Amino acid sequence: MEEKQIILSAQSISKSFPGVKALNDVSLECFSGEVLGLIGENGAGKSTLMNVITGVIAPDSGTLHVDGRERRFGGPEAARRAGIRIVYQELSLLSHLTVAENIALNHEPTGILGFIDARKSARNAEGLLRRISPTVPVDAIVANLSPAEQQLVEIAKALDGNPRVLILDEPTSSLSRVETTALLNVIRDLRAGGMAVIFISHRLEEILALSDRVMVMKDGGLVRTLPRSEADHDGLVSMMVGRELAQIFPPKGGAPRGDPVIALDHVTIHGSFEDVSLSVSAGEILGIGGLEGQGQRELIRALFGIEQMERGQVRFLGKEGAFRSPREAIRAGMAFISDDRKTEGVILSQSVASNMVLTALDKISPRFFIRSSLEKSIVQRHMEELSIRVSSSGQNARELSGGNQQKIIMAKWLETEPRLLLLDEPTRGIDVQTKMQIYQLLRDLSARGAAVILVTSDMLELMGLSDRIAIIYEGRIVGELSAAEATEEKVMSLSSGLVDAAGRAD
Amino acid sequence: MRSSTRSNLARAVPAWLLVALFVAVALVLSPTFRTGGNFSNLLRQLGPLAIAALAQSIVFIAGGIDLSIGAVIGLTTVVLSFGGGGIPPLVLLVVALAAGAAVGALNGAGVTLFRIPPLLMTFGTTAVVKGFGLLLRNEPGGTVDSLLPGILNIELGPVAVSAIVVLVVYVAVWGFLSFHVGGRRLYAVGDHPENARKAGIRVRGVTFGAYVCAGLFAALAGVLLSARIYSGDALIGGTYVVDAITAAVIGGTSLLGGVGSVLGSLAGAAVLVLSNNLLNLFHISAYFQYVVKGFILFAALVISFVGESRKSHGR
Repeated sequence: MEEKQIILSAQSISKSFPGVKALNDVSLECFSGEVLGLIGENGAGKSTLMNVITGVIAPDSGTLHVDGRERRFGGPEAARRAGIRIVYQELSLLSHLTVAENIALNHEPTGILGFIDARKSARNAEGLLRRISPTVPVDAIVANLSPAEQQLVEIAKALDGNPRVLILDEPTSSLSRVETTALLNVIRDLRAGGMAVIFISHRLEEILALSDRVMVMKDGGLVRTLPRSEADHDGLVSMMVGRELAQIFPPKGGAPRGDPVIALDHVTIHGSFEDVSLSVSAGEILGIGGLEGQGQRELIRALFGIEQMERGQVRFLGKEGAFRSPREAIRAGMAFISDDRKTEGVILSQSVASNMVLTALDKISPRFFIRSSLEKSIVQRHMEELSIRVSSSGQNARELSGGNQQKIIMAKWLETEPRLLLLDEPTRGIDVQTKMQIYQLLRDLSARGAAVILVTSDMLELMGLSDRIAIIYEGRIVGELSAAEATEEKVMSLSSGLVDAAGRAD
Repeated sequence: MRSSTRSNLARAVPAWLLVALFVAVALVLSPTFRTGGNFSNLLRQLGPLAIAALAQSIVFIAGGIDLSIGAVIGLTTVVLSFGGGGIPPLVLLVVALAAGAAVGALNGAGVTLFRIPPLLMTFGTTAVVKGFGLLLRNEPGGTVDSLLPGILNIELGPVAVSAIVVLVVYVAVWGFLSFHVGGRRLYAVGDHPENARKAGIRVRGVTFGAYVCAGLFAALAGVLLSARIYSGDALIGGTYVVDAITAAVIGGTSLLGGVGSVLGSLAGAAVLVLSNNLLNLFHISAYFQYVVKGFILFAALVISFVGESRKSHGR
């Protein structure tokens, strides 16, 4: 076997942003013909490190070498010319252009006077695309392609100009299992062709299946880089979170009590979800799992009255009828925590205190005007109960960390004593300490008799917090698992639509 | 090999069908419509609006909007109306076009450098430009040197030179937008500025260029209008703002940016001129025509936005 060459080396990279040390003395090496798996929680510094490598931001200290030569990138274009390409998790194609036009974008071959040589452009695109996929049409408008096909186009686009290093940032997060398997094979082919690949994923099984070495990051630092042979699932998890798994989640609740708080009977919004029947009882946490974009987000938004159900029955606390607005839903005893914290969760330009009492305005203004003593007592109580650490309750929500913002949102809704709490990705981008507090709060709330519906793409969270798990695939619930019978393997298979709940292959 | 040019052209087809329908209806219902005089009259009305709609479409494709088109048209007629004072008409023409481009540059700078929303920025420049026009000539009047109108109004059969100018400009701009890297970048920026930036496109530069072009073409629309009215009027461009927006939307250009073909805007402008002409032939009040035009705009907007939201909901 031929000797693997070192292509990219980053030594002792550090980077601070106002108030945070985003990267602290991190080093990384990439070899030709090798896949380096990179894992870490949100906020661990993976993105910042990739931004440094791709020239998006300049490090405060540390050095970058490509092919043994020291490089300082003035911008993404410089890194591109040095042969470093990245495919981001959010697709960055232009949806109204064709595949070929996207692949050629800003590097179009031109004839006279800057007019595009469409034929040459299409031939080049075809050549790149066929290295990746035999089927994706070169002349299709991108908006008409599936997310998986778009992902392949992104990779083909990145291959233009024969790069040395290819970075894939969570390329599989919206792909089914079949699509994922196909993509992993594409990456193996690229590796066999001598490419140095950095593969970032939250799915450890993919990391383990593909990587030659695994690099674990946490809190802006490097935990360890280890060869595949020394890596195993549980070990990687505890390296990532810095704790044993068992410590993170509070023990599960007892059996569900009484009648369902909410029961759905064949509810449908065409194009989002179809024929969904579910129920949740008091004291129970129902987790909804699945790939991203399978209709789970639309489902809980519709429960809260943001979208309108088209068909089916909703029964909430014994009363028939879906809510037509969030206002109705809140009055009936629901609360909803959106995945879009900054625009739908907190009001960034208002103080911590104002944000917290937003759902209690009637309570604190018994005679028309807001009575500040009442406001203060509510705010004080929540700050203590949720251990929210801010310099003062008058501080703007904008200045807080994501974790503290999320705690303020929790406080706001806990104040309404909801009978049903709906959560969409409640811990995305939040540190593990705050996560644990949020998990405990949810468990306490459910122990006090509330029902909880949790939508999450975080497998650990889904498994660790849910008393029952429903899996959604292409808008349909394809299976329900009790906490006892749920395994990561089963959840993944259901999520890909490959088997039904009884384990039969499709 | 299919391209985005083709799907953009497809969006222009309904507008051209509408033109055909209007012409057919008019031919059947109105004997006056069939006269050669009416036809050349139609073409002369179409000219300024068609170029104004072209200006608006370029900005729409870039993901913006330009409300100052009408004010620039007014200012242009004012500048050209100083033709009696011994200033050579070509100098006036160059000054007028340069003024239009300068207004566009101001809009572009406000939108790109200071991140002012285009609607507000161009609303602001509208006031400034109108003010300048009124300072130069506070009531309609003056004389346009006969050189330019003389050339533009030469009739080659039922078609005047001005109509040929419009056609040539349209084909040239369409060709540039469809087949030139500059055009491709314009569509990319309007489609998704952030992703265009990631592809290495200088988004601000492209946006700035779009506004400069819009200013320049608005001035050209003013030149064509001058050749019809032979005088200067700082406020004459008012109706062109809404009409240009309507024409572009009818023509299938999205207000959200990144899609549409200017050839559709030409059809959109023709639809407006034809509907005016029809209402005139039936002696419908000019005020009522405003109401009709307003509803045409609403209808076009509803169809356009319903279409967009359908698409964005699909998975």
